[in-house]
Amino acid sequence: MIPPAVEFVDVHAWFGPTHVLRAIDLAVAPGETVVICGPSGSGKSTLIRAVNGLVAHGAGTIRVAGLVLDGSAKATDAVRARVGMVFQSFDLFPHLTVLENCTLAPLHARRLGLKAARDLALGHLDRVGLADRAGRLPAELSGGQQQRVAIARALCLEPEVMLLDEPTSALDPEMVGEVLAVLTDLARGGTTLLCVTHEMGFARAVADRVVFMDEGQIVEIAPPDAFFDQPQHPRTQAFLSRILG
Amino acid sequence: MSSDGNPERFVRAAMIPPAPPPRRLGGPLARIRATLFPDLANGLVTLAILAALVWLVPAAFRFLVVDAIWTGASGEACRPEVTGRPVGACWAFIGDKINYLAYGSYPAAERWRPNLFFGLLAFGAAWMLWLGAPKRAWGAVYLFVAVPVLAYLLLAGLPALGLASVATALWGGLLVTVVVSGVGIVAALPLGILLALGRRSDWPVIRILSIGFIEFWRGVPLITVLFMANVMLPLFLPGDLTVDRLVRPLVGIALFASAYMAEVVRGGLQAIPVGQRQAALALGLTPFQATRAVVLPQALKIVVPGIVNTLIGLFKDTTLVAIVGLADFVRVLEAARADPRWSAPAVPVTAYVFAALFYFAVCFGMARYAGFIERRLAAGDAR
Repeated sequence: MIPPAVEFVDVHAWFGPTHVLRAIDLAVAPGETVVICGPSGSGKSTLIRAVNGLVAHGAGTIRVAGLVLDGSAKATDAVRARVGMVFQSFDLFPHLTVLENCTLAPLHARRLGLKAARDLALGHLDRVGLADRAGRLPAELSGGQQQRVAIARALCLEPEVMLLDEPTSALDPEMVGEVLAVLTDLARGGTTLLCVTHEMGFARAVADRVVFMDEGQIVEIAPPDAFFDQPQHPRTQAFLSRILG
Repeated sequence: MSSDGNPERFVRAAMIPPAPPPRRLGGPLARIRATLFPDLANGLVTLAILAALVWLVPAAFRFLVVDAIWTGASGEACRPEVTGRPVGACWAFIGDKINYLAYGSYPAAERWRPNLFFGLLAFGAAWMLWLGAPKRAWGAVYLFVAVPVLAYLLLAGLPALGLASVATALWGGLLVTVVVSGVGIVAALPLGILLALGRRSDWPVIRILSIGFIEFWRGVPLITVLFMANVMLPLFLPGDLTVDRLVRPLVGIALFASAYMAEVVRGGLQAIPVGQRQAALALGLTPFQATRAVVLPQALKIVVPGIVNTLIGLFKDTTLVAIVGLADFVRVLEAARADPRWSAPAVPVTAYVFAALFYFAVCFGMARYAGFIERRLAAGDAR
């Protein structure tokens, strides 16, 4: 059996007194696309931020690409070098050009040469259709273009796992499509994706499995057809009836 | 309108040449009206300012230029009863004392050394301030490392190199003001940045030490700092260890300014969204790299006005070193005007006007340069 790309074993996390992740068990196979959904405050973002150590987990074991996140700087750095992340609010670096945003990680974290880093960045910008904007500043781009740059920036790590935290929630409706198209392309290309999203059409079309979370727990995990057509848990049914109308 | 007859007789055969706009809508008169007298209140303010200018500008011009005395060897030349006409500024006095104002009591034969220092400093400053200059990273190394070392060797002297030692007690005037404010600026900016980062550190020891340092130096008046540095510091040091009379206030001013600088920089750090740091960490950058490449450049850009404000304050505060016996620019001006050979009513006034013009020129230059930098950075945002 192939070892999982990401594995949670009985993971708990706390923000102060608040118990935000409760007994999470989840294994994501290499190349798999997992969509995580659930009501606001259910711990979805915390779950994927725990994967690259942006949130420290209080108990349990998280394994990423065979490395155990034990809270040490060494393990955290090693995991972050293998995991790309895309945020809801893009978080491009506004003082750097699109190309410089993308070469930052190759130059600093991967210690590539300038030429190699530029070629790599231009390659990934081309993949998201924005190679012609390499010299622009983020503020000159539309929201959809910024998010595509953020995806290219994460891809420049050549990650084994991509984490996406509501990548389309801050976008105008007409720009959601272009970002989802890039993500669909990534998922079909065999990148391991962990994606928090409310785009149920995307989940149904692209996900291998859908995870439903509520109150810090995983309530239900199912392939998309089963998840949407025959949700098992009453809380899942209530959630789906609310968002699908 | 009649429908009979040839309609073409109502059509003009030739174009009418364009007429100028009504005088109330275009031209210089209308512009003056719109900008200076748009309504009663603004019109009154305009008139009040005009009246003040009419009253002040000719008087200042008469004092500074028309009635000014340009040549003369002593105070006699600047006395109205001798010249037989109204006397304005006594520029002859400044001209006579210019070397003293520039170098203090620095030996006349060695004055090429401060001159060379001013030249090296001006070259480095121009290299850094001119944004299009080549190899500005080397400019920074030159200005922040090479110039201080060269300046020390040049000004204090190194007999082994054939440069006679010149005691700091002899330094004075512009030289001391430039050295004190230069050291203050060069030390305050990096120290302030380190303190601001330390104050936001996750490590309690570093955070508490930074807070303690900043609050201590901000809580003490600069005069007290200077007295402490001058009088108390030697008491705390072992008897055989003496710190130079010039270095003591230098250290005091540098630490004092860095505490203020730290708070300015901290304001910028707090304005950067936490997502920027998280995005940098998620890209595999170490916390140090995330700070250096992502957070700090954005934070410093925001606080350019505050940094320049602090530097201008620091520059003017250097006049306080006169209190602990350093012969800075204002102090030598005071000494020069007390020269009995130049006793004339116009001389003290001239001295203070000259000091005001000097400090204003430097501070205004700093402010204008900062404005230029801000506009450039803002243009980068809007592009």
